[in-house]
Amino acid sequence: MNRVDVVNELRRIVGARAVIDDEATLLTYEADGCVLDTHAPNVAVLPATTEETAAVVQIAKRAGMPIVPRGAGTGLSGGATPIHGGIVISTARMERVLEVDTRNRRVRVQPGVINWELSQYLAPSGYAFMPDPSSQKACTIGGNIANNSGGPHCLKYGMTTNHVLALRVVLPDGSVIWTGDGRADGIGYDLAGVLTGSEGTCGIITEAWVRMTRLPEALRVVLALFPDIPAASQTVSTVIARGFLPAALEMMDQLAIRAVNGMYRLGLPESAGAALLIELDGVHDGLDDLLAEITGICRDLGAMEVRPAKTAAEQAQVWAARKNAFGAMGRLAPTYYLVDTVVPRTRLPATLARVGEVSRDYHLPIANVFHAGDGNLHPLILFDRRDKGQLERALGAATDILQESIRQGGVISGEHGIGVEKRDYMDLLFTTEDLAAMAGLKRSFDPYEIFNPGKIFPRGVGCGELATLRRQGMRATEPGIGN
Amino acid sequence: MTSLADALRAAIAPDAVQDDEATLATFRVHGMSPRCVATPGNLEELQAVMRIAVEQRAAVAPWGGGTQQLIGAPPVRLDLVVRTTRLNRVLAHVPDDLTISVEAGMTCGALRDHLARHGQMLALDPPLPERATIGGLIATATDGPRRLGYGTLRDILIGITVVEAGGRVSRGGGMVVKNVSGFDMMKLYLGSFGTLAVIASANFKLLPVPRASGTLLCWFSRAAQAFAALDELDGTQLTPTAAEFLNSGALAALGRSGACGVALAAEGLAGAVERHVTDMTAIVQRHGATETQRLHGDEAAAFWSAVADLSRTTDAGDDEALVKLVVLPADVAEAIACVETQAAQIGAAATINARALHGVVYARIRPVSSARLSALIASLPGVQWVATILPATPRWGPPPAGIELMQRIREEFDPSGLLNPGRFVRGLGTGH
Repeated sequence: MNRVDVVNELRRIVGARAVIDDEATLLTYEADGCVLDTHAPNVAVLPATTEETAAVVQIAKRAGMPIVPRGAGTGLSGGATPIHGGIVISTARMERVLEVDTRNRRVRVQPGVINWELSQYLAPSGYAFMPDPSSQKACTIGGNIANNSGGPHCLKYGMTTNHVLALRVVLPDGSVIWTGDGRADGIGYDLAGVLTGSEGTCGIITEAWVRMTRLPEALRVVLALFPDIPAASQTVSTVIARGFLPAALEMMDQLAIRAVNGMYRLGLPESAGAALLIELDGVHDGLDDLLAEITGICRDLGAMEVRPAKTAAEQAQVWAARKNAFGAMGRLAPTYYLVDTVVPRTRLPATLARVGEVSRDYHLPIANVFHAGDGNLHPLILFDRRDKGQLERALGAATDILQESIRQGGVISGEHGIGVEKRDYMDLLFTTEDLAAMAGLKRSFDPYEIFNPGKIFPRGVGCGELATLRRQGMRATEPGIGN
Repeated sequence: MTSLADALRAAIAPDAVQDDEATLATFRVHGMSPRCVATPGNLEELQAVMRIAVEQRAAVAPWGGGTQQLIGAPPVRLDLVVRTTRLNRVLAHVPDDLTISVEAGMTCGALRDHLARHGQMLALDPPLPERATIGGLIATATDGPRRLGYGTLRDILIGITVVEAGGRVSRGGGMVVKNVSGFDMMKLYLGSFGTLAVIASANFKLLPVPRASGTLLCWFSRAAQAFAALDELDGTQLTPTAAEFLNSGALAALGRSGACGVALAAEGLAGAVERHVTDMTAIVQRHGATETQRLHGDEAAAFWSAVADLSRTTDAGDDEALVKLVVLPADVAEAIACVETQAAQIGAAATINARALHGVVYARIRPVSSARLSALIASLPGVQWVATILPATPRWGPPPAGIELMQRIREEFDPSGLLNPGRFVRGLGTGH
C-alpha cells in the first residue's frame, strides 16, 4: 500500500474529516512537549471508537507503517513524536466519561478525557482521579496511563499505575482485549500493569476503568520559606525520615519564587532561597497537631517564615503558583529544558548541591521546582535555543545531572518517561540483559515493532537487536554490547 | 550423562544439593516428588542452578517457604525444587530513605523484625509470615486484611531482580519511590506463579509503624446488616486500614461465636484513630450490631494475625479446599451468600473471610469430595484459584482475556517451558 491508498482507506474508516494529511496541519503532530527531535508523520488519524482504532491498526499493519499513539501531546520526553513517520493515532475524539460506578469506586473513560475534567466531573460526588500532573488541565487519561504519570499528590496516593484497574486495548495484531473489568485482582499476567507506562509501544488504549478516590475530609496547606536550598532539602529529608506522609511536599527555589511571584502576586520574599509547599490531608482530628510537628521541623532547620494558606482560595492560589511554575519560567528565559530524575530522599541535599555546580560549570541558570517528598527532581535549565552554543551547554548540563542522579542511587525518570529524550541514557542505568528482558516483553506484544518504534530503547542496539541477542543466549558478562 | 544432582554439586556448594528420599518427600508438589532439591546461597549459585536446569532439561519448581504450593494445578513435570531459603539477607536499607532491598528467601516475619528495630514496616500482612518468604508472596501476589489501608504488593514493590531459566539475571525498577525508567517489570513477575523466572531479590517502599491503632470487632445477627454498615462506611471520608467480613465459621475459627461479624482497623495519628473508632462504632450500631468490642495491644495484633492466617493454604486436609473469589465490591454479599448456600447443599461448611470493600473473598470448604468440589466451583462467581490436595478438581477460574498474549510472554521468558510447567492458568505454560 502506498500513502495515497492508506489515506483513502483511513478516510473510508473514520471519515474524511478525521484524517489529516496536509503538511500544514500535520505540523501539530511533529512533536509533543519535547521539541529536541521533531519528525512529521505520514498521516494523522482521529478515530472515534475502539472499532475504528482497531481498523486503523489493521491498515498500518498491512501497510507496514509505524503507529504513534497521541493524547494531548503534553509529554516531555518525545513519546508522541513520530520519529520514523507513519500514522499518528490521536485519541482527541474519544473524550467521553462512559460510566461512573461509585459503589465500586471505578469510572470508565475513553482515553481522550482530560485529567482535570475527570476530577471536576467526579468532584460533586466527593471523588477524584488522584494522579495530578502539572499539565492536568490539558493532558489526557490515556496519556497518563501510557506514561504512568505522576504529580504532586503521588507522594501519598501513588502514580497512575496505582489507579488503573483495567484497560481496553487494541493490540499490535489488531485484536482488542479488556484486561479485566475493574475487579481488585486478576489471574494470569498483569497486562494492565505492564501496559501502564509502556509509552505506547505495546498497543493503544481505547477505554479504561480507573479508580475513584474519596476526597479527604480536611486539608492543610502551608508554605515554608527557607534561606537556601540545603536547609529546605534537609527539611524534606528529615520530614520523610521521621515518618510523616504528607499528601504533597513540593519545593521551589529562588529563581522559581521570583518567576511565580511576578505572575501570582504571592508576595513571597525574594530573598528566600527556597520555599516548601506542604499539604496534609485526612480527617480533621489530629491534623493540626501533625501540622504543628512538621512546621516545628521546618523552624528547627532554619525556616525564615511559615505561612499557612487558610482559605480554599489561598490554597488554590498557592497550588496554582506551583502547578504553573513552568509556564512562569518564560519570564526568565526564552526556553527551558526540564530534567526529570529521582534520587533516594536522603540524597536530595547532595544532588541539589551538584545541580548548583552544574549551573555554574555550564554558565546557565537552573531553576528547581519539584516533587521533593518523592525525591523527584525537576531542574529547569534556562537557555536560549536560538543560540547553538547555549543549546549544546543545556544538553551537556542535562547529561551531567542524569549521571549524578545515577551516581546517587537514583534513576533517570520519575514521571515523564524515556521516549526519545532519554533512550540513550538507558544503558547508563540498566545492563544489556535488563534492557533485553524489557525488549522481550515489548516484542511479545509487538513482534514487528509497529507501535511507537525508536522509543525507550537506546539507539545502536535497539529493541529488535536486544530481542535477537536475547534469543541467541547472550550472557550478562558480555562486555561492550550497546556501548 | 551426569545426573542432575551431580551436575549441581559440581557447580554450587555440594551440601546445598540434596537428593535423599527423606528430603525429596518433604518437597512434594501435589503429591509429586522432585528428583533433586537445590538451595543456592547467593545470586551466582542461583544462576548456576538455573543454567544447569536448562542444560539438563529439568522442570523447576521455585520454592520459598512452601506455604503457597497448593495454589494452582499439579505440575505436569517436576525434577528440581529450587529453594530460596539461603537467600535471606537484607541487601540495602537506608532507614531514612524508607526503602529496602531484600533477598527473596527472607521471611516476611524476619523482615518485620528487622524493620521494627527502625520503627518501620512493610505494609503487608500475609498468612503465616514466619514461614512465607518475600519471593513466594510476590510470585503468588498474596495479600492481607490491611490492603484496604496500604494497598497490595503491587503498590509497594519498587524494584526486582530475577533469574530466568538458563541463568540470565535481569533487574527492573530501582531504589526510589517513583520511577518510570523503562518498562514496569515488577508488574510482570508479580503474581506470575514462578512461570517466568525465579525471583532473587526485591525492593520495597516502607512506612513508619503507625503511632496509634484501633481495632473494633462487631457482631451482627444477619449478614445484610453487616454489609449495610460496610456500605455506609465506604461512603464516608474515613480511611480504615482493614474491614474484614467474617461469617460464623470464621468467627468460630477465631475462637469467637456468632452469626457473622465485621472487624475494622484504623491506624495513624492518635486523634485520627479515636475519631475513626467513634464514627465506626456509631455506623455499625446504626445498622444493628448486636455487640462491639474494642481490642487493644497484643490482643489486637494476635487477632489480626489470626484473621490473616484464615486464608493460609498449608495443612489442608484431604477433604477441604480454600477458594479465592474476586467480585466487584457491590456483589460481595451475594457472592458470600452463594458460597454458603451451595456449600450447605453438598453438606459442607464454609469458613469465609472477605476483604469486603475490595470484593476479595476467601472460602474454606469442608468436608468435600473431588466431584462435589468441582460442581461447587462451577457454580461460584469470580473464582480465581482453588487450593486443595483433592485430585481432579479445577484449580483456576476461567482463563483470562489475553491468554494468547500471555502465552507469548511465557514463551519469551521461558522458551523451554521448564518453570512450573502446568501450574498456572489453563492454557498458559502447560509445558512442552
